[in-house]
Amino acid sequence: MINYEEELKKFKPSLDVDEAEGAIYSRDLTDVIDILQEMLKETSGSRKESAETGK
Amino acid sequence: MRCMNCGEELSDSAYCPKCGCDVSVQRQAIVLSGMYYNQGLEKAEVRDLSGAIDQLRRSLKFNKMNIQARNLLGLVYFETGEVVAALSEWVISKNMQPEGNPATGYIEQLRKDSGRLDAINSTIKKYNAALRNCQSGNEDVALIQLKKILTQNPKLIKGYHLLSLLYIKNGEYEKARRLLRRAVRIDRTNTTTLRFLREIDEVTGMQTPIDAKTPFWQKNAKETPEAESEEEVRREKTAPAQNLARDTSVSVNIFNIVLGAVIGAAAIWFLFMPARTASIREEANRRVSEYSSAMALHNTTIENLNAQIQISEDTVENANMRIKSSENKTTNYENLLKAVNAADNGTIDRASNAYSAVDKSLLSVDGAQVYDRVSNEIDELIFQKFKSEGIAAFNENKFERSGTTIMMSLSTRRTLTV
Repeated sequence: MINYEEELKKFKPSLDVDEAEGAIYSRDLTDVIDILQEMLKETSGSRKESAETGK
Repeated sequence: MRCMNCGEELSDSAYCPKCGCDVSVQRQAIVLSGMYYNQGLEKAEVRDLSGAIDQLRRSLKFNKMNIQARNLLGLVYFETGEVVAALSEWVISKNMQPEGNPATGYIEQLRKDSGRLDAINSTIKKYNAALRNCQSGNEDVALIQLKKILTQNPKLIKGYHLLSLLYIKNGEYEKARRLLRRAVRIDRTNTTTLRFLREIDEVTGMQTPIDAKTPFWQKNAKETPEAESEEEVRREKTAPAQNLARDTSVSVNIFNIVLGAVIGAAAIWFLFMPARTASIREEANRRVSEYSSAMALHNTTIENLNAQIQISEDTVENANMRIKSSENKTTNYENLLKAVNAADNGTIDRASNAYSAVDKSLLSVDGAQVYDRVSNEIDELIFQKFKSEGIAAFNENKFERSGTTIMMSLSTRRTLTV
C-alpha cells in the first residue's frame, strides 16, 4: 500500500534553467580513465620518492 | 584514441609508443563505454528511457569523453522533461568537443526557441511550487497547478507522478491510471510509474493495459509539433539520433509503401511462384503419369483383343481347313465311287479319270482296299484293251503299232502272258 507521506518525501525539486550553471559546475565527471590516471600518477610519484630516497 | 598518460596517439599495441604506459585497461574501459552506449541506444529505441539513462550514465562512468553517449543522455533527459539535466549534458559535451559536436546544434536550437525554453522553465518552477504546496498540505492547489503544468509540458514525468499520487490519495484511481498510462508512453520502465500502476491494479483488481512500444520521436511528432522540429534538427546533427530517427514525412511514407509493395511482390515472386510452378509441374507430371497408365492399359487391352482376334482367326482357319479337308475327302470318295462304277461298267476312260482324281492318303483303310481293287480292275481293263489292240495290229501285220501297244499294256503289268 502506498504511503502518501513517505512517497512525497521521495519527490525532489527540479533544477530550473537558472540553476543550470551551478549544476554543471557541481557535476562529478570522474570516470574510470581519470582513476587510472590518478593511479599512474601515484605510482610514478612513489617511484620517484623511492628513487630519491635510494640516492 | 590517445594515451591517458602522455596524450600520444595510440597504435594497436597494448603499450603507448611514446611513454610505454600499459593502456590495455584504458582500451577495455573505452570498449565497455561503447557497449553501454549501445545498450542505452537500444533501450531508448524502445522507450525504456529509465533504462537508457542508467546505461548511458554507466557508459560515461567508463569514458566521460564518449560524446555520443553524453549527447544521447541529454536527449533522453530532454524527453523526460528534465531540460536542465539535458542542457547540462550538452554543455559539458560541447566543452569537451567544441568542433563537430551535435550538442552545439541542440543548444543553439534551444536558444533560438527561447520562448519554448522559458515555457519549460516556467513549468519546472511551477512544479517545484506544486511540490511545496503538497508538502505544506495544500493538495488542492497543487492538483490544479499540476494539471496546468502537464498541459504545458506533457513530458514532465515527475509531474505525472506527483499528480497521480494526489489522485491515489483522494481514491481517484482511474484518473491516476489514465495519467500513469500517459507516463508509460513516455518512459516504459520508470520504476515509480510501474509501482503506482501496480498499486492501482491491486486496489481496483483490474490490470492496466500498457500501450505498444512507441519510440519517443514518433510520440513527439503527434503530441508536440514544435518538438518534432527539434527532433528533426537533432536527428540531422547527431549520430545516435540518426540511428533513432524515423522520417515520417509524406514522401518517405509513399516511398516506404512503394518499397513495401516491391518487396512484397518480390517475396511473392521468389517465394510463392517457385512453389506454384512446382505445384503446376507436379500436377502436370501426375496427369502425364495418369495418361501414360491409361495408355498402357488401353494398349494391353488392344493387345489382348488382337490376340483374341488372332485366336479366332486361327480357329476359323482351322475350321475352314477342316471343312476343306472334309470336302476333299467327300470329293475323293465321290471320285472313288465314280471310278468303281465306271470300272464295273467297263468304261475305262471314265474310270481312269475318276481314279486319277482320287488321293489314296485321304481314304480310310476300307476305302484304300476299294481303291486298290479299283486300281487292279482298271489296270486289268487297260491291259486287256492294249492287249486286244496289239494282237489285232499284229494280225493286220502292223508290227510297229502292235509293238507300241503291247509295250503300253506291259506298263500296266510286270508280266505279260499271251
